Amino acid sequence: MSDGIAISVDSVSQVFRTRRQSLHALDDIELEVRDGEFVTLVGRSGCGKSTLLRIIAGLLPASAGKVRVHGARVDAPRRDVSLMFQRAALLPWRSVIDNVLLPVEILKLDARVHRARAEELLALAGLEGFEGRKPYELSGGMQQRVALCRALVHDPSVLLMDEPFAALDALTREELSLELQRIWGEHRKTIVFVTHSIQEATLLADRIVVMSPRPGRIARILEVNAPRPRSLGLTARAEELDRISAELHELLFARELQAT
Amino acid sequence: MSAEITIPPGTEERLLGRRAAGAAASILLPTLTIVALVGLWWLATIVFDWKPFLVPSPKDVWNELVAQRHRLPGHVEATLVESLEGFGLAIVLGIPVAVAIAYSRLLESTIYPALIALNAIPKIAIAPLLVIWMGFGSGPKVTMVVLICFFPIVISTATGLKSTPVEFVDLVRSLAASPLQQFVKVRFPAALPFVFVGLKVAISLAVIGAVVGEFVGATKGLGYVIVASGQNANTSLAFAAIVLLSLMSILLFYALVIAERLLVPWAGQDKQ
Repeated sequence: MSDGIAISVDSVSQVFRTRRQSLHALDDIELEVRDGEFVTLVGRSGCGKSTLLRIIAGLLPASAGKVRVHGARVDAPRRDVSLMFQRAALLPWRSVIDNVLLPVEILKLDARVHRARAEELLALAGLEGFEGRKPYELSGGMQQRVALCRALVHDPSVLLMDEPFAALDALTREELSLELQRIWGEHRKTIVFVTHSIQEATLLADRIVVMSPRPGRIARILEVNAPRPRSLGLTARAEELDRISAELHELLFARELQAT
Repeated sequence: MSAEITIPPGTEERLLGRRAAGAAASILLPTLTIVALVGLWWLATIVFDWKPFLVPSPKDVWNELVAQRHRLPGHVEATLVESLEGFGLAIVLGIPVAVAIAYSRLLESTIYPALIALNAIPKIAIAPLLVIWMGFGSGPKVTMVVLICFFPIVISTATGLKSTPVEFVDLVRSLAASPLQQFVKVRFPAALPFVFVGLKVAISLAVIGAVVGEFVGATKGLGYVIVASGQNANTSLAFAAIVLLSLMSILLFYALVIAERLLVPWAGQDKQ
């Protein structure tokens, strides 16, 4: 429990079988994520990043191998693991605050305590005054902020994020990555963050897991030692981030990583 | 997130004005269409000099409506009550069946083909049988309405329950929600826009079902009025009953549209 390891992925493989063919999505994945660590999973489409995330979340049973969260074997979704998707997935019939409180209702937690917490989170995400709005009245970036608040409201220790900013425009996306970094600074969670964006991966990560496709494998793990908070502006001392971005480019576009 | 926006003066008034104009147009244009059609009808009766017992003019129909103003409301009420009872019963019966179909592969493959086969029977053909089985009261009419409304409600609700967005399903599953919680908090509300599609189809059919039931054997209702007026060539009265039936259908349909706006305000909005 307290060995400092939040997630351990132990020789996990995943094969999807359809009637015509079988797809080897993940091959013998080994990964340990420390408590409070921010890990990004980067790779080309079809390298099994999202599949790995769904297995860690307990939404998909692995074909082989096992996943442990805080030492306990994952065979079903856990309440201390929270998920965020590419789309905000806000329930359109609920107001912003009621969307944030959905996990509280489902997990039957204390409503009053968590309402205060939800309001706090919304304020932290810059959504003060929007509690009563309906999701369709918000921009895509604001919807995704609400989704982040919802993912944090029941105080999970692990946050799994599947390309959460990929559907947003480039500027909003950058703004939200910086904000996620800030919120992560205040509510230290273990985060596994799937992305296609090299910039996002380097900006946010303690470690970057580079995956290669068909079958999905871990090609390389890069440590990012740049101090936080990191930024993208002129004041950023970005040599370390630049070096890692360049290395990521090399890795992702290298011949041996491409699908053949 | 706070942004300073300067709105040019008069913008709000203009936007409100445009919205009011839109609302007015949505009432005005259909009304104009109907007025134009009635005008054409009137013109045709004059130009072709149709006999009133063949095609009465709008004026004849109006006179008949006024003359029968004490007798007709009872018939309107009878048809309306049959339609609404049948419609309500179809919802009460149809939604559980839709849930069963959406949740069980086994039930889907057993009930669904049977439903399609049943729906293929021309319902009008069993109207006389219903009279034999249930007599001349409101029973066979309500049953006819149920039979006609049931299918669209089941199909649309089942489709809605099976089209829950994947992210919603993953979201509640990741919270380890019980199947009941998943249904109540996500799957059913997410299906509501689909349910309303079925309800709107069904309510238009409901009135038809009631009238068909009344054609076969009844002592009241607008369908009965039409049959009875046919027997003594009172075409104006038949037309008056048809006008009332159309009005009833339109009002019931728009009542549902309003209910939909209130219950499912997000339908048609840009989701995500």
